[in-house]
Amino acid sequence: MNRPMHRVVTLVYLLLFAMGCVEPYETPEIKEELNIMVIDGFINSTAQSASVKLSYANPLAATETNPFHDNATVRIEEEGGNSYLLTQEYPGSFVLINTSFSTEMRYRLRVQNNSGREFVSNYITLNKAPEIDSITWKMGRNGISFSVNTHDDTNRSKYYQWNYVETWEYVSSFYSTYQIVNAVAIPRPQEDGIYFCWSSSLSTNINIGSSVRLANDVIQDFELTFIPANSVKLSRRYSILVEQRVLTEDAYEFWTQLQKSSESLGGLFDPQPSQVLGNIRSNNNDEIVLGYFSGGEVTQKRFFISFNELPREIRNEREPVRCGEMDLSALSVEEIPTAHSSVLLIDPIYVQGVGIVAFTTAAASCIDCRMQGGITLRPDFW
Amino acid sequence: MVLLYRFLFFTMFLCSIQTFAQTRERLSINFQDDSFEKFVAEIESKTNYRFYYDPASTDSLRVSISAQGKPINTILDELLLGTLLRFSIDNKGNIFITEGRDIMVGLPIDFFDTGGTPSNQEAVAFDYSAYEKREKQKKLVESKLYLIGVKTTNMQGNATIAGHVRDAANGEPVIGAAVFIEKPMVGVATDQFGYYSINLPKGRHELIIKSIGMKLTQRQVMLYSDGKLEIELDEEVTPLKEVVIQSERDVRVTGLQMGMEKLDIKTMKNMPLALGETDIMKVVLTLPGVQTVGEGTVGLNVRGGATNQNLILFNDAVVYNPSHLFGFFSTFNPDVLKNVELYKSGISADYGGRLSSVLDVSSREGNLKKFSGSGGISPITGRLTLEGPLIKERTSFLFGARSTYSNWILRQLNSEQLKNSTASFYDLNANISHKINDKNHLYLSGYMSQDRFKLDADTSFSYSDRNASVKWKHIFNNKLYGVLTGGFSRYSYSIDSEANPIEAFTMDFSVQQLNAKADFNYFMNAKHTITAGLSTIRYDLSPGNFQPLGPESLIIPDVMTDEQGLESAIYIGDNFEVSPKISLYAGIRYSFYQYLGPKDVYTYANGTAKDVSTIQDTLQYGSGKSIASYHGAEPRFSIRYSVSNNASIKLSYNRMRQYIQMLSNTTAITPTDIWKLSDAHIRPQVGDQISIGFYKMMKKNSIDVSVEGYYKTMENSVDFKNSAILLLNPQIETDVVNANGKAYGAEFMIKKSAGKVNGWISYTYSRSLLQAKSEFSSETINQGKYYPSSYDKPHAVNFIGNYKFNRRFNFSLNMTYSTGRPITLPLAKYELGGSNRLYYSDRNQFRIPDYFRTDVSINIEGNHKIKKLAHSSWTFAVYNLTGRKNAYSVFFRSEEGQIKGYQLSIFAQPIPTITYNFKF
Repeated sequence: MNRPMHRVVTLVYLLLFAMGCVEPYETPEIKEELNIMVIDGFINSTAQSASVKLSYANPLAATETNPFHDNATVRIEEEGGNSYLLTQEYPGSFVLINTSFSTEMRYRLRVQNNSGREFVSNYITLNKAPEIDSITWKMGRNGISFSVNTHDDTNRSKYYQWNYVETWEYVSSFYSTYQIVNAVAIPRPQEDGIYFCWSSSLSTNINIGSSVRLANDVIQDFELTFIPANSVKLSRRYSILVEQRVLTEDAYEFWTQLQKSSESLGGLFDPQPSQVLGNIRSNNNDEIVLGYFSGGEVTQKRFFISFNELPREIRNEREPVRCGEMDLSALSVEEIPTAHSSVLLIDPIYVQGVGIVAFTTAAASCIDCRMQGGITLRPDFW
Repeated sequence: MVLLYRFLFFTMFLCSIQTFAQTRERLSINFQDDSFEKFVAEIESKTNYRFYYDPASTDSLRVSISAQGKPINTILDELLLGTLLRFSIDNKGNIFITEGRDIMVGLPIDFFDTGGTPSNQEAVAFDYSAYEKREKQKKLVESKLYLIGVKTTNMQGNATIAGHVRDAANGEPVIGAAVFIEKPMVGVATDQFGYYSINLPKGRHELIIKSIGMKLTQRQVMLYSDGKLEIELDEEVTPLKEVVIQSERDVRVTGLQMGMEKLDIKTMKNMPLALGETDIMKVVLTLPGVQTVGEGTVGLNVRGGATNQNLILFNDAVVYNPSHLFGFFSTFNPDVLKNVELYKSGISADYGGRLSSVLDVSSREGNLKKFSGSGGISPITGRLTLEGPLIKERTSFLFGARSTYSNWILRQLNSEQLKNSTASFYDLNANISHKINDKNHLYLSGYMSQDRFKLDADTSFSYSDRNASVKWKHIFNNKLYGVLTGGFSRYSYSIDSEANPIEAFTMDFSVQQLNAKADFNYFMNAKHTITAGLSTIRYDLSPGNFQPLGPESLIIPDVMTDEQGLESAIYIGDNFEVSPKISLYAGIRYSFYQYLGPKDVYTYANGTAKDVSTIQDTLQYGSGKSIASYHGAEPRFSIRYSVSNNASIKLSYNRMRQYIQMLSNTTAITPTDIWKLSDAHIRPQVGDQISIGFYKMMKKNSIDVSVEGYYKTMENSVDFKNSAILLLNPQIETDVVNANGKAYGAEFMIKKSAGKVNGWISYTYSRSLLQAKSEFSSETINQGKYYPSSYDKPHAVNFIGNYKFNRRFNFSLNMTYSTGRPITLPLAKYELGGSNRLYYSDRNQFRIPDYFRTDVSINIEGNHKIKKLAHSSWTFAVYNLTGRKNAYSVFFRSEEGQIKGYQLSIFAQPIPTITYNFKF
């Protein structure tokens, strides 16, 4: 309901944007001193774990995030019962593992820092999550989109949230068959290959959907992500792991507002942005705390698609991987001992009767796929 | 040409005193497609007649005529029939052929008659054709003495003259014309029907009638007792070298009304505007005290009021959404409009129902005398208007249509999605005006606008505004007339979406009102004019009907129960001319409102914020049962004190009550905003305004200077909680916050309304603040402190200038500056859910950059030849000449984990347009 309604407003924006002109906006300098705590907590009852991230809000202009440096004790409290202490994994990241949580009980989060401030969440219930029925894809304009489908026969879920992890295989431009080890060129063993890489990224958008206006608790074709045809993600094989959670109405509203205030186009036809406060309060009433504490089951489903399965139109859009200078050059065998450690070899050059006299080489970024951000370790699920 | 005229005038005076004794010669002639010169030569050779004419105006005339023994005037009658040429023959046998007007060659026969005979039959000087006879009369009427009433010798006391002032060309009423005598200075203005009633001492007077764009005229009257005088005015066609006296100019100083701006369509058509369309809503925005949140949006914010607080009337029917294409155009077709009046303060008791202003738009009445049409073509729209008499001099019609062909523009835009979208709109106007008899007049008006959009072929949105009104005016006697009005207005929109088959839906919204009112005007005596009346409005709202679309849809139908309301009012007001220096208006309106069943009403626990979780009970009300009722007095008061002949001070106070509001939590009005009646939880809005002004005419009344200051308060305006859901929300009161507003400011204006160079410059300082304070934090905004409203723009400067090179070329320049509107900006970013999020400041604590724009336009009238199929004009305009990138909105987006701020400018470059207009 909200989405198509929003499309009407989208039409207005499309018109305005097509007619108008968008330029970066210089934000006026904000003098205010900000020291706002951000708490992001989640109980994963399927994995019998919990994680809580503590951080601070940063000025808009800040390029680096302010690391969490305070000492803090983080607890999850069962209503009228147990209390679990979370341990700090690294600064600001607290975890609890091997703890079973019950969907019958209510839990809350309590964070105390060393300056005596205390932050307590409302009690939350843990929601059951139905299985994901399927992940589907379809061709859109110059790319493909991935959607999730699910349903709950008990009609109790209603509000859903999805996060996903994308993983894709890609290759470098040149396959390196030799490597320089101890100033000598030797054949590169398969396990040291730098041609195949796998890269991953986490979802950054808020993906929430609701079936509350439908007669059945069904989500059909909720679009999660769109990948342009020429993206490296589609160059060989692509996989998406979708995690599904069920939200309470309150949590759904929180994420909706957060989505509106940071992901929508903003402007005259959108609701005026406002402070979005979650379910955590400070013991000092005036102090603002950002973030949300929630929990429940998490179900997941993975989906693969290979380049060959893509429609012809998409495959035709494929562009060669760009890696700067693609020029090949030669490196004679004599030069190998003095070559810089970053030099990578592609193939040997044979001369009949003489053997290898030189190696072809090129810019490292064209040979080593890791320079594009991936790793050469094939993931378990691949 | 000029020489010829001088000669003619000279001749006229020479001959004028002599008595009329022309013997007529009879002629026999025969011409076949010959030139006028040849015709003249032959007549002059055969007779003693001498012709005087301008060859330039007769060169296109071909003579084909044969006559046997006919008098010269019959021949000329036949020859010149259907042309604009006139002839006059004096008693010396001189024949004057003139263009457009005829020469008076003798004095009217009752010129020396001081009133012995009742001269209600017209003096006939010559045996002219009926058409020319009327032309003749125009000259005669000014010098003729009209005897009003029954002749008596008792010349003690006062009597009333009443009647209509009409446009001689088409019989349309002239609104706001000043009818007055100079000694002593007693004057009235004609009302919306062109009706006036003036109370004068018995005796002889010279009655002067002035109006913008019309020729000044006077009538000599001998007032014996109450009587009637109908007046026709000629349009001012050649204001080139004549002294133009316009009524409105001194009305600003001598009139009682303050805070009122009146624009006629001629002024509006000269102004340069975006996309080549004359748009009254955009013109109104150039007036001091009127703001908008952004160009290309619908709403007006008048003196710090919200957009829903303006009563927009089109021929007395309420218009809910006066915009096409989400606000780029107004729905008022310029060809059918007559004028627009905007009341910002000093609103009289006959208006009610909205807090901030009244925008009264009137269309023309059709031409009573001949069939004619006009139209135009701009880059976006084409329009055509037809009008004419149905029964000559009694019934006229006017029909206007306008439609867009904007789809081609969408195709040009660089967006794949827009290329698959369509947008269309049209509007229709139809008016019928019928004179039943001298005492009864009937007016019918209908209006409809429709917009339709289709996005990506799967989502469509349409909205429509339609209204109709019937007015019956009855003149009881010279002093009293009444108008009975019935009206109907409806605004509705509908959204269909088939983007996802299982979520396919259709949603409809509508608001509709039926109203009836009776207004009476009683000209008691020279000092008092009483207005009184009563009105009632029945509202029917269908706040949302959400239905599945298509067989696959799983959408659960969700129908909000209809809302009904009844708003009635009674009012009385008195215009009291205390002394020549002081006049005042005192009025009171009392309004009653009932929110009616059937409806289920929720009650909430006392002492808690209204929330779905605090619902205590549901009360069921049957059909027609009163659920909530409100009533209250709305006093209105104005006073004018004349400091000198050309300066005055005015003061006014008014209170307004508003029982229907638009709910919108966005900055600008969006297509999907809904209207809501006051109910058990949402109280009616109440507004008070006090204003004071100083007005002065300078430089022989050619420049007027004014300063107005105001302070106003608004109670119970609606604002919204941060997460408000307004659509399909059965407990909408839980998302609404009551806010109080205050606004104050000062408006300075210098206006030159006559001469080759005319226009105005204005500066406005204004503030508009809101406060939402409650014991519950969820109903509090910005900690309960006053915060600037989204349309609070403290400084605004407007310049409108016209330069008329000559009759055909007109150059206009328009400059606008205003402070940027307030916005809420992010103060910090933080990470949540895998991406950067924004932490926002308190509401409206920052501003977008200031706004500045310059527009120019040139109007070129076609040549003034008479024999043409159609008269046409071209308008070349450039909107935003300097191409300044004015920020329309500022927004922030989280992109790939980074927060980026952008500003969007629409019309970010100069936009040239060409518009072609025609008239036939």
